[in-house]
Amino acid sequence: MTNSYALRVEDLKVYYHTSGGPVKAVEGVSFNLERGEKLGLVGESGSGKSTIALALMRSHKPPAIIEEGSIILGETNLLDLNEENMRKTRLSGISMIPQGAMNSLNPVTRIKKQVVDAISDHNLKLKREKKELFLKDLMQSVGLDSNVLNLFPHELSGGMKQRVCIAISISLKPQVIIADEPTSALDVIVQRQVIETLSKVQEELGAACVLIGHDMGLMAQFADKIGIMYAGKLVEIGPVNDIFKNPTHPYTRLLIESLPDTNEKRPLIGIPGLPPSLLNLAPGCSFCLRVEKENKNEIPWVEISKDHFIQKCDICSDYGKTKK
Amino acid sequence: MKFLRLINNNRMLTAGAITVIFVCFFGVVGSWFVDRERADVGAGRPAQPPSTEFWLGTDQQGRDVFADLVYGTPGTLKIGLIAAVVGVGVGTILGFISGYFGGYIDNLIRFISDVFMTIPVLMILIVLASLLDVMSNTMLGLLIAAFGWMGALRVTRAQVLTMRERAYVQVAKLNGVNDMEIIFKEMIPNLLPFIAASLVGASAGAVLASLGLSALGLGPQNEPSIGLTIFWVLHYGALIRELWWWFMPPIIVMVLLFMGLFMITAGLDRIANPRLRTTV
Amino acid sequence: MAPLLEANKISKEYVSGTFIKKRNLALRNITFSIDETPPSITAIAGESGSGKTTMARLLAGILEKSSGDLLYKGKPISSMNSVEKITFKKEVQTIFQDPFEVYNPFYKVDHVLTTPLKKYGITSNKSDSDKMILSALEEVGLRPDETLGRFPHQLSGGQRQRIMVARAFLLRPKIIIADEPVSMVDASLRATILEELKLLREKYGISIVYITHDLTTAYQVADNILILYKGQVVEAGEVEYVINDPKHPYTKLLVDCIPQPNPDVKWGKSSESTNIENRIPNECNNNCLFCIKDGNTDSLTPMYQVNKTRTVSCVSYNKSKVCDNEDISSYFLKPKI
Repeated sequence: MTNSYALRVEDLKVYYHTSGGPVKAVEGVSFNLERGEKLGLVGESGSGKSTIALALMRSHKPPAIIEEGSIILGETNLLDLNEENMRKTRLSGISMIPQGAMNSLNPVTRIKKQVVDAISDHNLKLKREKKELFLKDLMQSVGLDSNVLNLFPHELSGGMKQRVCIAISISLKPQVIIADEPTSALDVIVQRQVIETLSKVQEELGAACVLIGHDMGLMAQFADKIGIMYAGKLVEIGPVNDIFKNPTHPYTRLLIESLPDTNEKRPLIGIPGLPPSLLNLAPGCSFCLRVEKENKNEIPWVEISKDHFIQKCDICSDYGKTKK
Repeated sequence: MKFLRLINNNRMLTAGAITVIFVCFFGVVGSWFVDRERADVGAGRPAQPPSTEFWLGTDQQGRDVFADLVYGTPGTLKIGLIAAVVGVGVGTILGFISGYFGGYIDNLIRFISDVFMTIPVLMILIVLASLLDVMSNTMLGLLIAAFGWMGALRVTRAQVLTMRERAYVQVAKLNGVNDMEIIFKEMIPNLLPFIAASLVGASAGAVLASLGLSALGLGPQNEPSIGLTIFWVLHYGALIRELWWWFMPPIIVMVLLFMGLFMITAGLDRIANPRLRTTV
Repeated sequence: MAPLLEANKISKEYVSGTFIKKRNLALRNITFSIDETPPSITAIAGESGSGKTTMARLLAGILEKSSGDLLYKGKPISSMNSVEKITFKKEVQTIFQDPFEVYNPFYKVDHVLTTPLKKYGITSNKSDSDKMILSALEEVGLRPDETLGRFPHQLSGGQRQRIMVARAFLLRPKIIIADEPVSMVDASLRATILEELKLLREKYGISIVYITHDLTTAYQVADNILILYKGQVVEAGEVEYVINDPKHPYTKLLVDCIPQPNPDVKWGKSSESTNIENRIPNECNNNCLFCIKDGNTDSLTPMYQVNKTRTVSCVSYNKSKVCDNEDISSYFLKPKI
């Protein structure tokens, strides 16, 4: 049986065990990614999206524990691998560009050494000239000149540092790239450069990509598929056009409606209430609580149109719908 | 219930606190039950091993070792406390003034501090010891403080330099709060954990310094202290003579004290540095 | 109507280094003003390094200018006596960008609300203070029982920032300088906070200076906008036109790079437009800050008046009249309030 998916996440649960009880940061998230597909994972702070990124790389640390679920990269379930094999898979099979990646470059080492360090742990033995060529090609693929290799991080601008991080993450041609808010500290022009670079390298590699963030504008520009996280659960996932034109879950609807644009001036509407605390989260629909309703039953995960799934809660599903 | 959870989460800190408190109490409570005269020369026959009358025996000069321990411990603790409080206190206040106001005052204070740091403490103390007829535990405490305030100054100054640029200080200024109030109301409360840790560390350092100085004979000779005991232990060669009941007890008490102080520091560290925690 | 807050030919230079001095000209000769009536919302937009944060700090009185004058009610700040200075601090309030750093972690959030009331002598007793604080919190849509009595780390970023808006409003200022007030807040709360600022203008006549790098929210919130590039105003005027019909090549570049939340409206073809080195318009070989290769020149291209509410600093518009009034805000749209 050939598995055409690059990544399959099934019912992933990640809890932080605190002295006050478990904080259910990720509560049963499932999604599939085909080869070369770009998924945008959106959510407020505390929705669990960064936890998913760490869990996919198995880079999470106690008190975060993966309680249940599977993460299947190609044919392998990453959660079945031992520590050594997982280490080999990181960067070569699945790689991550962490949040604030610009600050994860070692300030006292030249770029070349940092890239080489990352690769060398993976037994990629290259002769001298081939290595130079490899590094030069790598830099060019992210739009940087090869002289960047001899510079220190502080001599580069924010956008350039970020592109170096992208380069490191694609150096071993992984099948999946995870980018956790890669442009959060960058200006709008540089942001476009970085996202376009990411898009280009991902296409050239044929790798699947998960872009985590909260900027729906960026998602509209970059993603093929968008997943909305709320209170640790995936409440809606679907093709990007569907999400923007036909948002179905009330939270998604509110999110799309609150997006400002530059077409006309109108009153800005936010989403009322606060995201829930993930500690001692009540069972059932978490969005209901936000709009002062209640549904304690297990909410079904329903496919409403091709590849478009939502958490269908009958109580709050009509919230905020304006009568046409 | 919440109190018990607090203790359980900070086991190191609690253990350290209990140990130190025990050592303090040992001295304080013990003095209610043991006569002061028994810690003087000639209370009993010299160099006697432990017996029912003298629980830890007597030393070469006839002192009741147990009584000496009971009265010596608070003596040493007094030195440590005075040295720590005065040293950290002065250092912190100067650190605030230096860090917050900057400019000439900063340069002046730092110059004085740097000069003090280069003075060889031991030599000064030898000179002072020979000049002074009588030294008391308090005086020794003050002397140690006089050469120990510089550390607190440096670190406080560094902290203040950082805090001065923090947004909440700017907001306070915009709120019309004057400089003194900013120091006392905005900055000091945030430094309290750090000051507490400094005090603990300084106490340990001061006690150690007092032990060393007294052992060399430079400390007070008229009041009991553990350091003085060690001086006499060395003077009369108790180790060679295997008078174990004389030299072991003070060592054990001091080890307990240092262990306790160390555990408190480690415990405070765990609270202050969230990354060291494995549970939330 | 005499302007309330005036920045008159303000420049700010940062000097660093002990022996070899490095100079950084953060603001070059900026002149604009804010009137008391009608209350306006002016956006100052730019990327990092444009000088917008410096501008915010200067207007708030936190930073000292290198040259030029900052006048409040016609009087230069530097020559104000202490009473006038207190009035200035009270009437020109600031909201900062980071909703966490602005709180002293030792105190409950009530501290930032009670301190200014005490210090500026607005209320003399506790019950009056409490009343004012409650009404300010309600004004920004916060429930006092959910916010007062808590420590900063117990509240979300959005709540903390709204408390800061309440704090700014508490002293009934005439102008609020908002330095990127929502960039560190979740997207869903940004709209709420910005709407609150707009409401403060409508209900209480408070003018807002909104400093941001996000042109979309600037478009929605402001009447007029100034685009800063390396300390110079490159384009200014009515926000609807500046954003939807940018004249200066830098503004065009910025607007092109806005990620529109619509999958049908993608960024244009990359190639030349985002390649910063190739952004110089072909016709231009002028010595202006934007076009010059090394990006550093002391000569300033003058502002040209394109129409009644638009000005551009670009030689491509030298057919238009050069602005004779140095104050750019005289070419702003007067808001109808």
